[in-house]
This record gives sequence, C-alpha cells and structure tokens, in this order.
Amino acid sequence: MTHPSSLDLEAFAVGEPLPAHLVSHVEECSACGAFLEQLGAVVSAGPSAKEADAAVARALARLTAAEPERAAAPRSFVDPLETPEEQHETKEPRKPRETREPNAPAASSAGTRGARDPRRKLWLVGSSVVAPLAAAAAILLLTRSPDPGRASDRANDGPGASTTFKVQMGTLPPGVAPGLGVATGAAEPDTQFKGGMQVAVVRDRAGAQARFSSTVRVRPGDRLRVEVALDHEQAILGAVLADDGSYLELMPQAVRGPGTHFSERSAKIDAAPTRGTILIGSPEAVARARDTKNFEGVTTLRVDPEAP
Amino acid sequence: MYQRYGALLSRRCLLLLRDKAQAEDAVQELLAVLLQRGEGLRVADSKWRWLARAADRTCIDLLRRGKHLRAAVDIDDLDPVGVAPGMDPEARCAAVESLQRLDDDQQALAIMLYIDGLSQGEAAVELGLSRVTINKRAQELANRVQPDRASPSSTTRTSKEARP
Repeated sequence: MTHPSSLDLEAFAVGEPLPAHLVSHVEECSACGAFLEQLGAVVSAGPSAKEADAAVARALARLTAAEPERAAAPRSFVDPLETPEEQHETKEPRKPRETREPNAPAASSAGTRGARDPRRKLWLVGSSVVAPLAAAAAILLLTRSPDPGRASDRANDGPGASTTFKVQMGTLPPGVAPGLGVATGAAEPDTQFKGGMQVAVVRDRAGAQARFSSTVRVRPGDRLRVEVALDHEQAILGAVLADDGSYLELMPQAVRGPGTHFSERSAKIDAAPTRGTILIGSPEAVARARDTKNFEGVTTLRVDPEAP
Repeated sequence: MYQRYGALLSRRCLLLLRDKAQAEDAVQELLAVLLQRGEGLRVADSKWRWLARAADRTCIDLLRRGKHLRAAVDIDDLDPVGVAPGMDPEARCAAVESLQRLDDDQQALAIMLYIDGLSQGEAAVELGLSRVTINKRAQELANRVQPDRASPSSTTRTSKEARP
C-alpha cells in the first residue's frame, strides 16, 4: 500500500477530506495515524482568535504601508499565483546608486574619473544633449493650448491621479447607480479616490433617487443601496444592522479594487421601519461591530425612519 | 481561515526558509496577499493545497531577496513533526538546503517531490506536464539535490512504490 502524500495528510489534519481511496489506508496505517496526531498537535497549538485578528490587522497595516510603493509597481505584484519570475521582477529591491568615494574631492574626481570612466563620460555627453532637448519639449508642452478633449484623460493618468467631481447634495448624478433603474449614460471615467474609503447610501423612493453621506431618512417602500469608493484594493463587507438586532448583508465580503462599488443587494424598507446603522469595513471589523455594537473601526451611516 | 491554517503555514514557511523571523515575515506577506487577492482560494478544491503553493512562492521569493539572512539551521530543530510516512528525511533536508541553488522549475518540483511527498504522477498532474518530462526533470533534480546519492526513485515516491 502507498502512503498518502504529506500534503494530503496535512490537508486532512486541518479538516479537509481525504481522497476516497486513501481513507481506509489512513484508518489502518499506524505510521500515518502517528503523523496525523503530531500534525493535529501543531494545528491545535495554532493561533487563537485573538492572535489571528492581530495577524490580520498587521497584514492590513502592512498593505497600507506598502500602498504608495505598490501604486508605482505593476499589478502583478499582488497576484498570489504569479510566476516567481514576475514576482522577482517587481519585488527585487532597487540596487543602490553608485556613489563617489567619501573622501574624494568633487572637482578633481569630476576631471580625472570622468575621463577614465566610460559610463561617466557617456552620462556627461548624454546630459549635455538630452537635458536641453527635454527642456525644449517641456516648454513646448506648456505653451501649447490645452485640448479640452484630452484634459480628462490626463487627469486620470498614473496611479496617483485623482478626479474630483461635484455632486449636488441630495441628487444622484445620472447613471451612477445601475441597480436602481437609472439609465446608464456615457462610460464613467476611471476614477480613483484618495484618502481611504468614502461611503454613501443611495435611497430610491418611487423611482426618485437621492444620495446621502451621513444619515438617511426612510419611509416604507424605500430601497437603500450602498456606494463605496475605495482608493486602494481591500476586502470589505457592507451590511445594515437594525437597532433591534436584525442584520442584512448588502455587500458580501469580497476584495474590491480602487474605484466606486455599489452593493449587490438593496435593502427594502418594510411597513414598520426601525432605526439602524449601515456598517462598511473589513469583514472582521463589521463582524466585531455586529457582535459588540461598538462601531469603532467601521464606517457607518445612520438610517432613521421619517416622522409620520 | 488563519486560525485553521496558520500553524501549518508557519511550519511550512519555517521549513522552507529555515529562519524564524523570515518565516513570520513570509506568513505576514502571504496574509497580505490573501487579503488583496484571495479569490482563487474560495474556489480551490483543496484550500490547504492552494495556500501551500502560495506560501511556496512567497518563501522562494524571500529566499531570493534575503540570501545573506539564511542561516544553516538544522531542520530537525525547526520541524519536530518530521517527515510523512514513506518519505526520506535526508532527501527532504537536502532539498531544503539546495532550494536556493535551483531554478524556478526545479524549486517547484523539489518542493512537490521531496517536501510534499507527491509521487511523480501527482507532480505531473499538478504541473500540467507529462510523466516522462517529470521523470526526466526529477532525475536532473536528484543530481543537483543529492549528487552523491542514487536516482530520484530511491528518494521520492513513485506511484508504483509499495510501502509495508
């Protein structure tokens, strides 16, 4: 008989099913049983819920800290299934810049080493030609009249670019909430928000839509949909938690990229609306907020019934 | 998820990197990647297998970046669990020690054959290659991992290998 692979036994030790043809072997084989016992001990000595939360928090902090660096890197950086070569390309630390000997006088080194070092010579020649050309090109670009058709394109160039648009309070820009029956017009620009997560709720009342960013007042028959703008990719979950404890997930847990996202589901207000809170944040934070009713760490929007 | 798989992920990273600090770093990095792009995990047939491969890539990448940090720590001290039944502990040790010297394809194959204890057939399925190709590569690998030992069939499982 053939023993299962270490990988299969490890999967079994963490509770995954074994392939059918190996089950009887594992039940009978003392060596496999002993190995599984040892693995079981390792698994049971694993991180506690608190430690797991801390590890996730550290990983999130790491993501946040790495964000500016990641923004400049190709997208393949974060693909767990990327080839090692791709990872190597993007994660290879930058080579330190070549530096001059600390005690060498600047003037003499420029004169003597410049003549000796062919790379330096090339740099001197290149800079004397390229720099004026670059300056001339810059002046040309600056003095040229702006092309209105391309201005918006330029605004969206680059990972750090952001677009600001004004939204009249209480009304919804056309085509912004596809799930709420608003006609979708021209393609939206690829917008990236800066400054973390921005949350709003879109209320649909008999076809009339309004957008709120703090408290939304509702009456029976209204529908609510959540709008979340992210400036970087992150795992989020959106839900509405009524004051009586009922809970409805509007935006299932998923990793979402930068840009604007609308909740997949909408909440319909029934005949007897209750007060509640819309919670948006990481799945762990939302779960914690739901359990403890402490809304620290999540973004909230208040839902209040309109006075009759 | 982390509560369930964290201990085995740490063990795996420690085994591959042989450095506790680097292993912790690898797990953190893996966790960060999962938070960003964990879609594949949800649909994976075996979550552990998916996580193990993601951990392998993270560790191999760290190995490349941190050569100088790698101290020769005895694997027995790092992994008290030891090898699975039917596997050769010396071969596993030799494979771990030679990981840095191998190219990408060889690293993946070495982990599958010597650390995960997959048979050549299983490795062929996972890598999407023919058995003949895997057999050829396994022989080349054996020469690099254990030049002083016999052919890979003596150190890795084949599908026909019978165990008492």
